Amino acid sequence: MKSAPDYLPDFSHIYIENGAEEYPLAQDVLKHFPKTEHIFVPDYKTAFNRSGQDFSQQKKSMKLILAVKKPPFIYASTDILQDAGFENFVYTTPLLNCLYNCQYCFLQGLYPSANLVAFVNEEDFFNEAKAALKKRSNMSQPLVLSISYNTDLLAFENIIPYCRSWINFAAKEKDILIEIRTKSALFNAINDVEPSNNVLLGWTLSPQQVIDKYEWDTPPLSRRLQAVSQALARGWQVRLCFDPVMTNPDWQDIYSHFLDDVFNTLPADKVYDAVAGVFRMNKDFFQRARKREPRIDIYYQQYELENGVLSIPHARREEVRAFMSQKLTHYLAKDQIDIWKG
Amino acid sequence: MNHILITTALKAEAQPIIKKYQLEKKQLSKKIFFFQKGEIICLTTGVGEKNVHNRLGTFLKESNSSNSILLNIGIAGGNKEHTDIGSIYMVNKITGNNGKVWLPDILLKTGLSEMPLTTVSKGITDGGQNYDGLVDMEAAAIFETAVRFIPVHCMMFIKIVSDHMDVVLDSTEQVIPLLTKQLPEIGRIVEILKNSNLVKEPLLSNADKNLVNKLSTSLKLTTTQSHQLRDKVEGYVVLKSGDISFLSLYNDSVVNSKQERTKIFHEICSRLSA
Repeated sequence: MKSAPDYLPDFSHIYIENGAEEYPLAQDVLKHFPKTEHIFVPDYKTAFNRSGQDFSQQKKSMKLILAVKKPPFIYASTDILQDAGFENFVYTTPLLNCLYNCQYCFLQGLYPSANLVAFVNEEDFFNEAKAALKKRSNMSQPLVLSISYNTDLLAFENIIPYCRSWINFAAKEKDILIEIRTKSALFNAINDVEPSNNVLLGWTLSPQQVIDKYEWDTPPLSRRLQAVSQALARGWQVRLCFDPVMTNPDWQDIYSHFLDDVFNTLPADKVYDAVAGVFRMNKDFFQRARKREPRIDIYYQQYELENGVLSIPHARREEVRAFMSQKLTHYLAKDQIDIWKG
Repeated sequence: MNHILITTALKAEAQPIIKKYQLEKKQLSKKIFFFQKGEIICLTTGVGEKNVHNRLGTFLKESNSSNSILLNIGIAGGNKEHTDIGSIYMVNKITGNNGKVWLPDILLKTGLSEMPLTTVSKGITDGGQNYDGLVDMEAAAIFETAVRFIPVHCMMFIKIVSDHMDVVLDSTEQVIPLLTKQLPEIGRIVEILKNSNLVKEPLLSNADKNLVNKLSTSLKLTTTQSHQLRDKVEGYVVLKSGDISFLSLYNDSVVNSKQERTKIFHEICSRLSA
C-alpha cells in the first residue's frame, strides 16, 4: 500500500520508446507531466521486461512507459473473463498494468513490472477493432470488446482520455459493445460524453472490508457508488460486477449487508446487468504473485487447480453461486445475472 | 538497517570514502579485498569491463548480498552543455559499448539531478559531442554483473563530473579533491539508502529457515515434502502470525522408515494447518 513519503511520486519518470514521442497522445502526456524525467529507450520492453524488477517496490513509485503497440491488437477471450453470454467476446490492451494494487488481481503475477505501459497509436487500435468487427464469428451478435482488461482505464482517464476516445469510436460503429470495467470514482472525467448504447460501464463493487483488505489504493465503496449513481442518472448502461466474492469468515453476512446497501443506494431498475465470480488466478501468475507479496492471506487458502487455473474448492464455489443468485434475484431479473461458472 | 555496498573503479575514488566511514581492510580471498565497517562496505573494482566482471562478480558470488544496496560512485566525463565540472549526478540510463541499455529503478527522493550515461571502452578526449550526458568505463559492466544478485531498485549510480571529455583525468591528486568536495552529499545519499525500505524483510527469519532446513534433513523429507513444509510454515506465519519454534520438538524424531516419515510429516502439516 502507498505509505512511503520517501518515495518519488508516481510517474516521476517517463520512459519513451523511440518514435512514440511523435504521436499526439504522447505529446499530450508529456505536456501533462512537464517536470518528469524523460528517458528514451529503444523498445518499451527494455524498461518493462527488465530482469531484477521488484513489483511491490515499483508499486510505491510507478513509472509510465509510452510505447507504440505492434500487432496483435485484439485478443480472444480467456476462460477467466466473463462473457455474459456473448459469443464474440474479445479484449484489447491500450494500457498495461493498473494504478490500483488489488491483491487478488491476476496483474499481481502477469507482468515482470509494476510500471504502466501506455500505447499511443490509438488509430491502429481502432482500425484493428473495425477489422475484428467485420471478422467476428457470429454476425448476428455484436462484437463485445473489453478495453479495460489488463488495467483500470477510467482510473487513468485524467492522464490519458482513453475511455473518451473509445466511447466516441464505439458510438460511430454498428454491432459493437465496448465494456469498460473499473473501480474508479472518476466518472466526472467522462460526464460530458454523450452516453452510447454501444458502451457498457462496469463497476466492480466490493464490501468496504474487502476493499480495505485487498483492493489497495482504490476508492472506497461510497465513492464508487456515487460514480455509479452519476452514470445511471446520465443514462449510461451500467453493469455491476461483484467479482471476486471473497469468501473470508462471515462472508455471507458481509455480502448480504453489502448487496442490500448497494441496491438501497442504486436504482436496480436502471442497472443493465450484474456479474459475479470467485477468486481465480492462473497458477503461474499465482505463484509469482505470492513470491512478490508473500504476506497476503489469499496465497495460503485451499484451492483447486483446473485447466491451469486455481480457484476456491468446487463446493464453496457452488455456495457462492447459490448465495449470489438468491441475493441478486431480489433486485434483478434472472436473465440480468451472470455468475462465473469456472 | 540495509547494507550499502559502495563500488568505485579507482582506489583514489575509494580513499575519501574509506576515510569518512573509517572502513577497515578485509580479505575476501587471496586476490580480493574490501573495506568495511558495520553496514558500509567499499569495494574497488578496477577500471574497465573485465576487471568489474572479475572482482565484483566474485565478490557478489562469495558474499551474501541479499540485503545490500549497491552504490556505484565515481568520476565521469560530462557533456559541456549539460554538466558542470565538480557537480554530482544520479544516472538514470546506462548505455553499454554494444548499445545495450540498462535502467536502474529510481524510486527514492534524493534531490540529485539525473543524467544518462554511456560506458565506453576508452577515455573520450575529443569533446564528446556524441554523448549527451556522462561517460565512464564501468557502469554498464557493474549493472550487468550485479543484476544477477541485486534487484534493479537496489542499484544506484552517482557520478561526479571530472572533465568535459577533453582530457583524461584520473590521477590521485586530481580525483581525491573531486570526491572529497562531494563527501557531504555522498553521506546524505548513504543515509537515505541505509534507512530506506528498499530491501525487503524476508517472510521467514533466518532462524525459521534454518529450522525448516534442519527438519527436512532430520526427517529425511523428499524434495516435494520439503517444499510443502516450507509452504505450510509460510502459511502459518502469515495466517496465524505464528511462532514456529514448536517445530523444533520434531528435530530429534527418529525416522526409520518411509511410513514413519510420512506419519510425522502429516502430523506437522496438520499442526501448521490447524
